[in-house]
Amino acid sequence: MDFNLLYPYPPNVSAHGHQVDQLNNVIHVFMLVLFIGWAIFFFYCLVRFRARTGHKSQYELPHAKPSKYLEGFVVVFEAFLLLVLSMPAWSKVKNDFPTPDKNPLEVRVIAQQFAWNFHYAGKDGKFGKNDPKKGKAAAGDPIGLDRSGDGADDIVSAEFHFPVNRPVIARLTSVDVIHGFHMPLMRVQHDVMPGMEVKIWFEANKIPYEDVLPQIVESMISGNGRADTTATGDDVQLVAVGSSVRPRTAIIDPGPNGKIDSQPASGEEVFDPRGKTEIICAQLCGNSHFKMRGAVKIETAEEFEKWLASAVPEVFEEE
Amino acid sequence: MMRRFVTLTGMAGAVALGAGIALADEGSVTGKLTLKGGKDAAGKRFVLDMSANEDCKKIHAGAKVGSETEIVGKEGEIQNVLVYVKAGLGDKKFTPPSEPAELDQQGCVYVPHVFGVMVGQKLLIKNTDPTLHNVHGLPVKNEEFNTPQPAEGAPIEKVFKRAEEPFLVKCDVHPWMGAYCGVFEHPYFAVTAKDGTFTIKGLPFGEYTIEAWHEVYGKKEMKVKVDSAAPATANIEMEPAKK
Amino acid sequence: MSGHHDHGHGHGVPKPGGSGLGSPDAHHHPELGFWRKWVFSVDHKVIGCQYTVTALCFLFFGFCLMLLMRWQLAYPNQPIPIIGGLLPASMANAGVMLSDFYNSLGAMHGTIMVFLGVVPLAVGGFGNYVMPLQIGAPDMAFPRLNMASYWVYFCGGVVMLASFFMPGGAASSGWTSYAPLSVTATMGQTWWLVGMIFLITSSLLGSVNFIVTIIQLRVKGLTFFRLPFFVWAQFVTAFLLLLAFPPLEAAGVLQLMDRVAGTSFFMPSGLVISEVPLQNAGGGNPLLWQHLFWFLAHPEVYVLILPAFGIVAEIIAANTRKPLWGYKSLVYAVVFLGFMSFIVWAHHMFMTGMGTKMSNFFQTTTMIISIPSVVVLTCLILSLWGASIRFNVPMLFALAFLPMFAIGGLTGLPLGLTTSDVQLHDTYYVIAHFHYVVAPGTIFALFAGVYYWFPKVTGRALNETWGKVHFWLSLVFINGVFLPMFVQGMYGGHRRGYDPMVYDAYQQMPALMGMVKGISWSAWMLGVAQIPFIVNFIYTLAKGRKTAENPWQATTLEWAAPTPPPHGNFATAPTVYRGPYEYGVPGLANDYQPQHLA
Repeated sequence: MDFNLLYPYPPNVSAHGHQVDQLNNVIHVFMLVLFIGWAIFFFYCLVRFRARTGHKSQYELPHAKPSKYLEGFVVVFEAFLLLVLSMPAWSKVKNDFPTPDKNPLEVRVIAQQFAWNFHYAGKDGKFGKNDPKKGKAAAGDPIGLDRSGDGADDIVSAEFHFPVNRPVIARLTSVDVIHGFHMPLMRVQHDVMPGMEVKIWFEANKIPYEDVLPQIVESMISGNGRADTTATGDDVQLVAVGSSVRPRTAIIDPGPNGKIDSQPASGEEVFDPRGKTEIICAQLCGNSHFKMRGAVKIETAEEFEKWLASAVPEVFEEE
Repeated sequence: MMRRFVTLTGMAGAVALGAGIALADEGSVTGKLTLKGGKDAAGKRFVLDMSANEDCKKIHAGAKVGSETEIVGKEGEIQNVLVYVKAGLGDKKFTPPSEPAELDQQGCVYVPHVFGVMVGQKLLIKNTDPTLHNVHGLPVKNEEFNTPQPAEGAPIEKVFKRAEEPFLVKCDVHPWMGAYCGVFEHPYFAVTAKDGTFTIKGLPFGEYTIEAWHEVYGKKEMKVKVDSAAPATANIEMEPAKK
Repeated sequence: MSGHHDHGHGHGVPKPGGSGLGSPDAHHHPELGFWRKWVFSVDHKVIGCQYTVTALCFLFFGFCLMLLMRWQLAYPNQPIPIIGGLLPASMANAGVMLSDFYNSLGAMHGTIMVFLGVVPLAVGGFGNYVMPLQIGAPDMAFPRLNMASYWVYFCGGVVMLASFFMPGGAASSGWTSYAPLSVTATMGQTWWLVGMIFLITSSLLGSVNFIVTIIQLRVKGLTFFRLPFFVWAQFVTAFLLLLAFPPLEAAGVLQLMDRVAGTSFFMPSGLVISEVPLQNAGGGNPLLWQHLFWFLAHPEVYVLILPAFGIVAEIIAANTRKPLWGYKSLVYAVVFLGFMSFIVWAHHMFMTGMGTKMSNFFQTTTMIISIPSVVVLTCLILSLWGASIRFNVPMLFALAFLPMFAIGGLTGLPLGLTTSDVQLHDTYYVIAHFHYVVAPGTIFALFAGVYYWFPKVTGRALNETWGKVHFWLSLVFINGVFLPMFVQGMYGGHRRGYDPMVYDAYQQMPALMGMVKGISWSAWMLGVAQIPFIVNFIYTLAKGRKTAENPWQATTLEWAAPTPPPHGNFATAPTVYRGPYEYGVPGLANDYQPQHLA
């Protein structure tokens, strides 16, 4: 993400997100116009009508028409915002769920204090039943999934994977208190309520940070804010050693072999940012609410299928 | 020569008798915990899913960490069984040691996974990890506690007033983390090692009921008699979890 | 009959004006002892001062809670300097604030500022003191009820403060106390609910008193449309309190029952907390709490702003030396605002899963309610046209209120529309929005009121120079605190987050963390900027320069009473001959005509 005061939004990777940003932009321009207009009038009055010798106030004033025009303009503009820019877009988000011919991916999102669980139906397309009372994350089963029957091929993951350019229907529920599901890059937010399941849908049309090189060396925030790694092998040095860098800056290009051969200096690490974004818990849920970050990976269809095939809770092989 | 022989024998006898008298009223119990049906009867171990926690993944530098709920060896030996004296101590009172028991958080895993502590003994909960943990103890007879602990923060001190069966201590931020803590009025408890064996030392002669506790396999009792310096044996076979 | 007479005691509701009840000479009652005169007084002025001092202390305390939180935000997981080591293990670990203590600070900051600070000051303080004077009344219609409402508020405050000492600390589920989190929280939440029941009861008692007083005790000639706008604002506010608070009081009792009596009004079945199934009846719904809470809490925000409108209007009229522009529009606007405020509440709940029929209704009512706010703001700004503006300290605060409230009100728009709210809900944008309305908005208006009416209450004037220092420093730093928060929210910075660095935006953009630090430093400097005010207040009380009876040359009735007004206020009940803002009337020797002069 880049810090830009004039356009302070995270990147948008969703199909509907431009409508959210557009409404925000229009409203803020409107707000600025109104505010600057008011402010100019305000300061003009403060100067022109300040008390001073020889200056008297005017008791009777002509009835001011401009204020009626202002009010009329505000009413019409707000109606425009409401009826043209807000309601139709919201109706699409809330009501126009993707039909089966669009092959939506259905995922159950089960929130708990303080982690996100993502339940996929597996090859049979059917979700197994789960009982939160039987959940035991230490045993590899955080949601209490019944692995007989439909649940045999289900996948339960702590990381939310979904493919780009395919609608996703997320069924949100919580096992304990109210949580909030907010993916800023997807312009999607919804409360996650205990005791009920609410469906939302969204579709990514871009892979986040795709424009960044596939393998970079990241500068740690807590580090010294300088590039310390030197390129070796066929890697290419992009940022001179010792220059100041902001975090997640590409310092090293992996070169023709596609691999980072250089040894990251202490405080720096290899990081592949492509596709990685986050879920922020948007509703106070307890003493570690602030740490309830969900990991999201938006990827190509092939990468997603590959992950699905491998992601069944992995068996631990002892030495 | 005969005199020297008698003297030596006498001295050896005296030493042996003396040693015997010194250890005369204490023995130990040792044994091995195995699972009925062997390793195949145990549930599978899973790789702990730390995909949402970069801070924990970094500590392990890519290595996979296995779940600890059922660690059963090739011959069915069970690790992390808490074995303790359940009955036979009568009304004896025991003072808790002054050194604290320790529970640490390393690599987003509790170390040790199962442990015992005495009533009134201090438990020091440390956080060696460079990440925040939230220590949430769920005892039944003692007071529940739920305290956030900053990265590499100061240890949390806890003292339990009542004896109770092993209860869960978990981290609400890292759901796979769990440790079990048993609170006892006496010091006679031990946890099985990787090979399934345990030893409880310093037990006065007598007849005891010892109990083995496992988080999945439940509890199993066995009567044992401690009547000599040689350790009493108590090999316990536990039943696997019902499917 | 022995003992002292209460006005309105045993005589039915007193008649306005000439029954002679306004005359202290008609009453011969024994001198009251210290306790009956200054502590358990039924005189609205003493009660108004009690409310004011108590509320100012709570405002300061609630502000300090936030200053503590700002350390953790700016320097996450660093030990708090100086006091960090003194905090007990339940609040800090080796000087680093614990996250549950942070959540407690947040919940209590909100609760204390709204229910123990701003509303008691705006309504209990200013409303109590000024309103009866402005209508020419000798006191409130029910003086003992008035005293009761103060002491019930005081008890509520004690309960809230005591909750900090409970095991598990004070309430930590937000000032909004959403179930199930609040129902499963530690004991402090129970005390919070008990405290709220006291506070709500206090407001209900007060609101009844205000309504009856305004309707029944206006002096002769004071028709509704000759009332100072301040009184209209208090009148509508009283209705909001009366009608909106009962659902929350009921909900508070229900939540208390869920916590202590095993009921499940707000608790669904099958909850599992930390892998332990919750043993309760189940079958309830957390959304019910949200509806009951917001049904009050939305009108509550108008309770926060309307008295401020009233104070600012009085000060602008007196310091522009001309009548307020659009007095009737102002009155209709606030009455309409009052009605509308009851049908917008679910805009706080857009993300809970309501269907588009409901969200369309609430978006529409929210857009509609912005109109009267625009009308009020426009009338007040237009009042500057053709004026002769005096820039004394109350006027500086009142003037600053206008653009600050404008920013607050305008930034409500993206929050009131669902499509834009989806990205801004629960972020710092919301915090910036409502703080602009309440902090540089209402609180500035309250400061203006303190500087303005201080001479009437005490006969002494606060020092103008230090007042200006207080004003300019506060204005600069309060904007330093809240303006960057809009950007923080737009980047996805969520509220109630103990450690910002957990999330991408802060990780990826050091400038955003820089902004967070800047906000914290502005907040601390804002704290320092209040010192001139506190010193000025206390010093002036003791040794300030004495002023004329009507230093602002204002027209409203409170300035016609002696300084300070005695028990019973007016020697003889005044009669009103004209509207409240006859300033700059042409052809007069004076540039103003007080309401009570024939």
